[in-house]
Amino acid sequence: MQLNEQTIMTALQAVQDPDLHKNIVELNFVQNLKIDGDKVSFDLKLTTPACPIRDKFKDQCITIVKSLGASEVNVTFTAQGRVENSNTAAQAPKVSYIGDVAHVVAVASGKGGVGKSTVTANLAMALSLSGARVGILDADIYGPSMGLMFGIDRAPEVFEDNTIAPVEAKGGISIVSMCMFADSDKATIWRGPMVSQMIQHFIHHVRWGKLDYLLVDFPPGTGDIQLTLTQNCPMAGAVVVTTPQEVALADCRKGLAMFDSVGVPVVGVVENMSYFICDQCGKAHHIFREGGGDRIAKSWGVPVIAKVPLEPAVADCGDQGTPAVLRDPNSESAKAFMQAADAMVRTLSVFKTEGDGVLKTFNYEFAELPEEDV
Amino acid sequence: MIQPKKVFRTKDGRLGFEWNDGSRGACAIRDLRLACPCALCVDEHTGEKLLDESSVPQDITLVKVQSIGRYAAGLTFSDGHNSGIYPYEKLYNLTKTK
Repeated sequence: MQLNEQTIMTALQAVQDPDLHKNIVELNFVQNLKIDGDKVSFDLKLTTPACPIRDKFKDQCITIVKSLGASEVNVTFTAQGRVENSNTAAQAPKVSYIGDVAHVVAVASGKGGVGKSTVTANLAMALSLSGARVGILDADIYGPSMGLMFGIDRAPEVFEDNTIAPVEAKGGISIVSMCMFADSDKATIWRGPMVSQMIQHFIHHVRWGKLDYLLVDFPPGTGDIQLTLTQNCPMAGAVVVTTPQEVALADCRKGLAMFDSVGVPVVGVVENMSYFICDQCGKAHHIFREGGGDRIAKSWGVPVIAKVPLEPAVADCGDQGTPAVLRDPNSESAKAFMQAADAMVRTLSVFKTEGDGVLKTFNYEFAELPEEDV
Repeated sequence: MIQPKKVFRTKDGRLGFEWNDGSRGACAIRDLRLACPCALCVDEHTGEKLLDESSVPQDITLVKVQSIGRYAAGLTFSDGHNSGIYPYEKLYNLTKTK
């Protein structure tokens, strides 16, 4: 049989991408097809160079094309950027609103369950009460909680060009969270590349407007999502949340190390559930022992910017949709959050002066760079 | 943390950086391409080099250089390769030795 482009393309439709549920021809993976007698070569343009099933794709393609009568089949992998001619990781899209935000701040923890979202919500509220324009990007795709923290039951407006207007919540805080797009009782069961795409969408296509601070509530851990976040927007700094016990501190160290390796300076550590204030005797009890946050701060050279106590009344605030800083501003917790927000603002301006003259975001054509001697 | 203050090109077509420690350096484009750390060029698990150096044109040039977060640069080469993420630390070393 004579090999031609059409028969090969039709045959290759049999190769399915198991995650995207489409075949590789439909997905435009097959490119640069060349037929030279009975020798065939083409590129497979993968969504990521680290595609876990690329060798399977290659074997399937070779078997199929050989069955059509080709004697030699050459498959080369290339990786696609979402925008042509740009790095796959940076993928600066044509439209991005993140540039309107003065400071993007990561709120992260190595471990889950340390109260990161509570800290984010209260930091945002404290900043907003001090007069700053504040937004929250809830990047915890799998376990979004900002909707609950602020009592939001509205969905954000999505425009025709697929951009999103954030929901304005209590205190004038602009919020976008996965919980606004998904049924709260259903789980988001997504593979890494899908989550990464959603995160990029959130970062670039939300119309934040002019913001002084955008707090990004990181999902716990040090993985795919955290990397996507740090690669897609230049973070001005990071706040790392921990609880005092050793098991949390071990993960907290990993969080600190992660920011270190991606060049994001750490503003400080917030020690949450630092102690318990008894509502009967009013005494502070150190349930998880004392000094964990201080130890980590000392060994990593980052300050503890707040020690937030456990107070049942404050925990209720989150569940009832009003952050403690707003609902119970005289509580010990609220004071601690305000202190943390204050420290954050001051440290960020120090970072800004220290980083003077350093290139933050750039995108140069090599040919247009100035010519200089080393 | 090493970060760039300026990006430039040299008369002989190398990519140059001025770093925040005050030093300057440059690296030939082909050497940058050969040092690509992406998963197509280096096995992710074993670290074994997958890139066939003879497949990289001698006259390869750079098309684009852009920042990735705060720690790295992404390079787009004239052969279309654009998946490498070069941490500034790595670029710093490359511009010092090549």
